[in-house]
Amino acid sequence: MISALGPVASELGANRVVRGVKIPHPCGDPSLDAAGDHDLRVRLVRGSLKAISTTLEQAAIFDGVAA
Amino acid sequence: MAKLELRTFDIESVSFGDRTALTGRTLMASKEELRSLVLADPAFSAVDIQLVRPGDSARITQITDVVEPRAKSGGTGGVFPGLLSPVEPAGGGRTDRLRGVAVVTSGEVPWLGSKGLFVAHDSVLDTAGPGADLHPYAGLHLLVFRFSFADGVDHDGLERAVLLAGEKVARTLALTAHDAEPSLVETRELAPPATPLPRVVYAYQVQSQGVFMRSRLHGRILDELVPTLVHPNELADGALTSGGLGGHGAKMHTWMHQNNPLIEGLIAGHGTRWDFAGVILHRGHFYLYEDKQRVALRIAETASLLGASGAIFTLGGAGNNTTEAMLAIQECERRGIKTVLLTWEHAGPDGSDYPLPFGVAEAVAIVSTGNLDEPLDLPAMGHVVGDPAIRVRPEIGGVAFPVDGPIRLERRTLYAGAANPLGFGRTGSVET
Repeated sequence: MISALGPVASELGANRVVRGVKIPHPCGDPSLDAAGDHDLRVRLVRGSLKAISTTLEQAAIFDGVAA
Repeated sequence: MAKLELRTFDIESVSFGDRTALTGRTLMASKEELRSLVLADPAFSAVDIQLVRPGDSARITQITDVVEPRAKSGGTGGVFPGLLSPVEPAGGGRTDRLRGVAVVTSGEVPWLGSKGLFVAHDSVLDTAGPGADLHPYAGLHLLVFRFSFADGVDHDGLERAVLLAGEKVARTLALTAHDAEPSLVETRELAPPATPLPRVVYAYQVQSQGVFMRSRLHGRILDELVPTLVHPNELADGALTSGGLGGHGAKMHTWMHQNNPLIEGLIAGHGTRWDFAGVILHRGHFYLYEDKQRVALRIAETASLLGASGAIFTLGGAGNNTTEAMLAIQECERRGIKTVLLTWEHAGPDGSDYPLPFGVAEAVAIVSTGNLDEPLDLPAMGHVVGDPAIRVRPEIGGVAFPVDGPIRLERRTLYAGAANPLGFGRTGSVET
């Protein structure tokens, strides 16, 4: 799950939480220009694909993907 | 520390007359005088003033704020510092309040092409029937000001004008009490108790996240507020003003800040049951997790520095603002500070859903003030004060919703005060 509120997503039972940008726009950033926003979204999708293909022993939050 | 002499003047009847004056327990209000007072602001093009008496069957629409008449009659500064009065020390000297009467401001605040959250949300408020139990105003004489707005004023200007209008009228009415005989005189100060008692703080969350959804402390907008410590007497003088225009069920009117029942209770028990250490004012509903965590840490550190062994929490607004409160509860409990949260629930129409958007294991003492999602059936009122229809669904630009007959509200957000954020009245939920 991509969420700006990692601990909330964890509490709901998501095993793999990718930290999103902000509550109103978890998967993008309207303050960036089009190219910067595109780059951010590519990183979020790639980071999420990496998270979903990571074997876990316990639930985890993947930080820094959108940074 | 501030020491305030609070004089209460009980008002038993209100009438319109040719001047504004208090005679015994009867308040006379001059429509002409009050009209010229508020219309001095060019943001308004007209105003209609009506009186709703206790027991009247009225549905007031499009409420923007409710204010209790208060004025200073001694000491420094004035009421509503930073907005109506200069920024000067507040909460000391002498303050006069008229109990039993409230100023209600209302009107169809223009949306100016905006949609969604950041418009003035319309609402209704009934003074009879089942709706009268949901807010603290039904037993009061309500002086309802319904404004029409001038063209060319932006949202910031409209918001400020409405807040100031309510405050101006409130001060003008309370100034009539200067030479009258009070019903009650209280001296309020947080003097150190004779014997040590448990220290308690009140973590008071307010909404402040943009135009029409923001609060002010000493006139300053609180959108970027880092939690700060406030003396309850400052709030008695109106240092904290409305959590945004519009009557949204979870919003707090200025009246609620002036008469917060938790603060009243904490002051009443100060020195005998506990040692009330002050109010930690903070905002919720930040969009970044780090901002929420900062609020939580600042509340817990402030409470800890004050030597608190207990902290009481209330919420401002609805939704993800629960996160700030819950994280703060966690941080307080980790420091050995016991916590209690007073909150509405988002428990679905039948009350069976998970009641809050976020929780922590440390939040073990929660008091419910009722379910915001429970549908509300309201009968027709004797008359409507305001427009017979309100605007709903601002996210799609607004849809007219007639309110001049019986109405069913699927959610209670359209009903002013319905979330009961501070625990007024007797609404609550029982676990079954």
